[in-house]
Amino acid sequence: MSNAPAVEGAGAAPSERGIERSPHVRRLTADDFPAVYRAELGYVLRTLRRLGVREADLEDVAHEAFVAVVRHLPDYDPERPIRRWLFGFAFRMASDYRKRAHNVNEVPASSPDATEPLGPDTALDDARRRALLLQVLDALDFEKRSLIVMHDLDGVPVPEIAETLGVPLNTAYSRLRLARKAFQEELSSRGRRSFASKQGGRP
Amino acid sequence: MSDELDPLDPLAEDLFRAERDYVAPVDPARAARLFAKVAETVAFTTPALEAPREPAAPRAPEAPPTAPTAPGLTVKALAPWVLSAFVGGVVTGILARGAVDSPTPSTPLPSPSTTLVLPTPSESALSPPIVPSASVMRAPSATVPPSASAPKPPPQATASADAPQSLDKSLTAERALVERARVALSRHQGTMALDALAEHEATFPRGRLVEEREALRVRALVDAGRTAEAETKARAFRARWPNSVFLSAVDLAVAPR
Repeated sequence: MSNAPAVEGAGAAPSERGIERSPHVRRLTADDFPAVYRAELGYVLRTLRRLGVREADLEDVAHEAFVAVVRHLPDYDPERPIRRWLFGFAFRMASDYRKRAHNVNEVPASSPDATEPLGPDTALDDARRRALLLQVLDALDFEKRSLIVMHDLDGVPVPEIAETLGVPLNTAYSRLRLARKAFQEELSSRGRRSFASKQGGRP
Repeated sequence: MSDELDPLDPLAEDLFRAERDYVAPVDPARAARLFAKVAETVAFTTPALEAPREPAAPRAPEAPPTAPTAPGLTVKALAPWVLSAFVGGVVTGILARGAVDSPTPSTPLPSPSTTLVLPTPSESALSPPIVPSASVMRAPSATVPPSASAPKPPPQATASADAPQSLDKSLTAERALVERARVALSRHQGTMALDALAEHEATFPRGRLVEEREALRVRALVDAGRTAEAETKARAFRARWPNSVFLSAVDLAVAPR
C-alpha cells in the first residue's frame, strides 16, 4: 500500500514537463495513474483554473477529471503528448461546470481587486499580471476562453486546434483571431475604466 | 505563433508570459486528499493504489472479490461503456461540433519534459483490447468502433460463444448505472444518485456490482439528508460484506461529524 504520491511542484523547483515515454511504449493501465497524477496534477489544476473553475470548486472538478482519466488511461496513446489528452478532460469538466445552473452568470472568484489601476505605465508584478489575465479571461465566453488557453497558454499550434475542433484551418484561425480580439478589447477596456476611475477620484 | 495571427499587444503578451512561466506549487495535503478521493471513487484494488486509510478504521485483510471482475478496473468491460457514457455528455456549442479530440501526433509542447519515465512493461493479465484513441468527447454520432489494429482476445472456450459477450454487456450496463450514481454523488446530487441505484437494483437484483451499489447507496442517502436510513444501510452493509473494500467509504459516510 502506498500513500498518495509526492507531487511535482510541492516544494520542488517548478518545472513543467510531460512524461517521457520509455522505449517500450505500451498502453497505460490504472497502475500508471499515480505516475500520471504525480506529474500532471499541477497542470490539470492550472488548466481548470484557466478555464474558469473557481478555486473553491477546483478540487471537486479535478476529482471528476481524474476519475475520468483513470478510466480512460488504456485509451491514451503514449506516442502523443499527454497534456493534450489531459486538456480534453479538463475542458470537458470545466464546460460542464460552467453549465451548471449555480455557476452561470457568476464571475469566478479567481481574481483580486478589480479596481487596481491599470495602464501602459502601470508596473505589474507577475502575480498581478496573472490575476489580471484571469480577470480578462473571466469576461470571455467559454469558447473564446478555451481557444486562448489552448493557443496562447498551452502553445497548441493552430493546425492542431483545427484538427481538435474538426474545422478547417482557416476557420480555426478565424475563431482564434476573434478570441484574441475579444481578449485585447476587454484588456483595453479595463485599462480605460481604471484610468477613468483613478482620475475621477483625484481632487 | 503563426504568421497568420496578428501579434498581441505588449501588455497582453506580458500577461500570457507571466501565466505560462508560473508553476504554482501544489499543496501536498491537497494532493494527497484529492488522490485519496479519486482512488476511493474508482475503487482501486491493487495495493499500490489504495487510498490512505483512516487510522481509526483498520482494514481487514483483502477480501475475496464478490464478482468475477475487480469493480471499477476491468478495462475490457469498462472501455466501451466509458467511451459511450462520455460521448453521451459531450460538450454543446460550437466547440462541441468538433469536440475536443484526443491528442494528435504533433511536436511536443514548448515546455521542457520531466524525467518521469513510465514503468517498464509487464505482462498484463487483462490484455485489454486496444481501444482506438478517438476523442472521448466526440459528438454522439461518432460511435467508436474497435480498432482495426487492436489485438483481439482469443475466442472464449466455453460452451456458448455468446455467453462471455452477453456477460460483458450485462456488466457494461451495470457499470453504466453505477457510474451514473457515482457521478451524481460527486456533484452532491444524492437524490439523482439514489434514482440510478434504484434502477440498478430493479434491473440487476443479483448483479455483479451489488456491493458497490450498496456502498454508494449509503453515501447517497447521507448526501440526500436521509441519515437514519444511511446508518441502517451501513449496518446491513457491514454485516453482509465485513471485508469489503468499500467499507471504509461506508464508515466514513456515516461517521459522526
